[in-house]
Amino acid sequence: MTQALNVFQAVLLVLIAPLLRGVIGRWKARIQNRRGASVWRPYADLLKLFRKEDLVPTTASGLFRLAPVVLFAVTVAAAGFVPVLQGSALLGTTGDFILLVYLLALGRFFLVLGAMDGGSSFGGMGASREALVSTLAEAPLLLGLAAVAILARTASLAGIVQWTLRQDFFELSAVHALAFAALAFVAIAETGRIPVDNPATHLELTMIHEAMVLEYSGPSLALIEWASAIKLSLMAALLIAVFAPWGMATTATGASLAVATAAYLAKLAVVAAAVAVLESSVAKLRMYLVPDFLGVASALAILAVVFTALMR
Amino acid sequence: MTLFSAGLILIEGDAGQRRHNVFIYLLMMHAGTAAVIATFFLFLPHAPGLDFAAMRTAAISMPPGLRAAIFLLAFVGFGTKAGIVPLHLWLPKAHPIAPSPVSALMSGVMLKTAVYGFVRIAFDFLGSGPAWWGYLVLAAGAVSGVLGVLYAIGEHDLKRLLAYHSVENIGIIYLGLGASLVFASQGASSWAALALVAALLHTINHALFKSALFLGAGAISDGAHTLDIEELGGLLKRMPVTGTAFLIACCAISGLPLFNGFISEWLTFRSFLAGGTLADLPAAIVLPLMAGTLALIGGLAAACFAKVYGVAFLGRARSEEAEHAREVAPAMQASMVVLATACVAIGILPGFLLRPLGAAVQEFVKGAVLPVETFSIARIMPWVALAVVAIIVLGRVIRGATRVTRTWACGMPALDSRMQYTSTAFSKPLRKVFARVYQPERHVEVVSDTSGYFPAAISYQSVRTTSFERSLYRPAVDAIVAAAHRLRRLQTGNIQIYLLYIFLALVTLLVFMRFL
Repeated sequence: MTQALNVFQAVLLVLIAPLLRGVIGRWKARIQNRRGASVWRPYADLLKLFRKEDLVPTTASGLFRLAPVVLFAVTVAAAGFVPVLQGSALLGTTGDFILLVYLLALGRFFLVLGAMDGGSSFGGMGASREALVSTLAEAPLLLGLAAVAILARTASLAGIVQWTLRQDFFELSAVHALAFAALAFVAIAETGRIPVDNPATHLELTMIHEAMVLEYSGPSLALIEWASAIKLSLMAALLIAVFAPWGMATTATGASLAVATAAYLAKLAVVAAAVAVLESSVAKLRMYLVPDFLGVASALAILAVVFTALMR
Repeated sequence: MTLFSAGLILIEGDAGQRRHNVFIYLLMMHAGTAAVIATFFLFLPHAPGLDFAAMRTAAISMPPGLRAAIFLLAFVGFGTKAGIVPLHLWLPKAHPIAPSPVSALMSGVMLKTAVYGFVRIAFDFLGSGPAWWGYLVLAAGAVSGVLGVLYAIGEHDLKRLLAYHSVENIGIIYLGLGASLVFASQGASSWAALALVAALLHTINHALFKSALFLGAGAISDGAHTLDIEELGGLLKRMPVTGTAFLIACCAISGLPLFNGFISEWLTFRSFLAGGTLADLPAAIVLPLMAGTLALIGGLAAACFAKVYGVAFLGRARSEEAEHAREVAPAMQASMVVLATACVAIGILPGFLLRPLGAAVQEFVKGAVLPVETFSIARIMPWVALAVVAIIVLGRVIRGATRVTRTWACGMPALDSRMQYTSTAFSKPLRKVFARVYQPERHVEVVSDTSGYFPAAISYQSVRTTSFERSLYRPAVDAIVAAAHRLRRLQTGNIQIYLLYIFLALVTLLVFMRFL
């Protein structure tokens, strides 16, 4: 039963990922006084792309087609690490957050290579910028999670969630506040949202992710878009699981499962609203300010780790 | 070993710059050897002989000051041979000029013997020591790791870049060794064993993937006749076997999962995390923070190898030679394929190496049993690999129609290879962020025409010396040369003065002998 629920929550994470994007887009439009597209629009986009043919540049090697598939595969595998509806996960009980972080890095490595295989300057430009952002985001991401892991005395995400479930909300310490701030910064950078990157722009001088995937089309592009949608909902699920897991099912009954699902969707809605408000109220940073942005995240993460030792 | 390798470096000729580099190599190696031999001599008054058992028993009864002196000498001596910053100066000079198989041997085996020697003395003979030993090794590891990879990012000569990555990987190994020493000083023996296993496994892993990379560099120079990655491009299509093996080695050295580099970095991470549980406050703060350093090193290494692979093997060929590159001989391919296969095998099934290593470290950390969590990586990796491969296969099976077409050129007629991002351009953002480390000397000369608005000619020159050469070695060399100049006054060339020296020496000696 637990194992079935583990599979279900991983599939849920993969399938509702485009919906989260749609909801954020819709709410952003509302805040900006536009009507906005339907929340189901990302699904229609994916379907359309999957039906089209793949355009491959003459200069490209086999890696060009392989990269999106690898990215998608490792992102889906990473989705198996995060507890969503209960305090365990398909791979996240034995596997730990270090493996999760590095799986995402593997996918990004291949996407960067795929971008450089196109042979145009846009691919290289996006790849170079992505390399900058992801390199600087890795340390605060790992340190932020490490701070919580040290408190929980376990590195597996399921273990961290179970430990947090046993705590009262008001027992959570400054470590949690600092680590949450650090990870929220990193999540914005990793998923390419404003103020680090603008997912809606198509101006080559400002874009990071979009420049990187400029040469992709058809099913390959669909896989990349889907994978980045999964990454967004994965980061959201990670923040929810580590910092606010309350409401997750502790027994495998229908009622507690319904409560867990409702609680998760409610928390996801809060994340979506926060992203929509943030993206409507802040401007994108100049690229060379992004290291400062991530520097703040690193400082917060370092403080979080130092506090784990000081506050016991 | 030093002399043999110096001979091997000179196989491909001994023109001026080469001879200079080999001279630096020999000099630093011998300085390292002197320190190592001094280490052994310090054992002599306390040990009946210089066999391992005698030295082990001698170390127990030594005064702490002598133990510290032995440790420091071993640290400097073997550190020079392993190439830790700032004693790494010879590494990026000697490796690029050696033939590729020799570089592979030097990086894969020779650096490792230095690590072995250090582990033998610090862990086995001395049986580890106070916490500051660990912090010293941790600091050396962190500095070597970060600076090694940053210097590598700035390089576009493939072999010098790989040489700097050896500095980085030695840094990662030293991070593990340092953590182990700190744990041992706190009495946390099973965590000390874990950190030591991490360091030893990384030593093995580095031998595998770095040899594969150096052999790949040899294949590139054989197939495309250059090692400047700015002149390469599109090699994966022309050298598919070399390209695939090189890609696997790139993933492995970047510490990405499913490849062996990740396993040892994961073990290092886990031992750093365990540091958070120590009762000692400095250790509980420093060790977990080192996880951040390791993450930074890993991220930078991934960026650097994305640059190497993307520029050299992907996209368009940037030169005539790269355009007509051909695959190398089957024997060369086979050697790379074997090493790459080993990288994948250890990456997915690490269990078969973890157990023997766990048994091996018991010799160094007495009675230590590896923590059970260590083997969770061996349980989870096959499943992760299975999941990833299954989805990749599924994705490849349901692929749709494909059409080969020109790269989009914003409506312009066509793109050529000069419009691609170069290695220098790729690394620019990172070099800008870490500008303090590089401090390049730039000379820009603009010759303007009569109007003063449109330059007639611009010349740009950028010289990159590592700041250690400028701020540490250069003053030392200058001081020695200045001292030598001053001492030259003794050498007058006048025979009477020399006779006076002999007479004075004789009198001093007699007086000395009389009153002793």
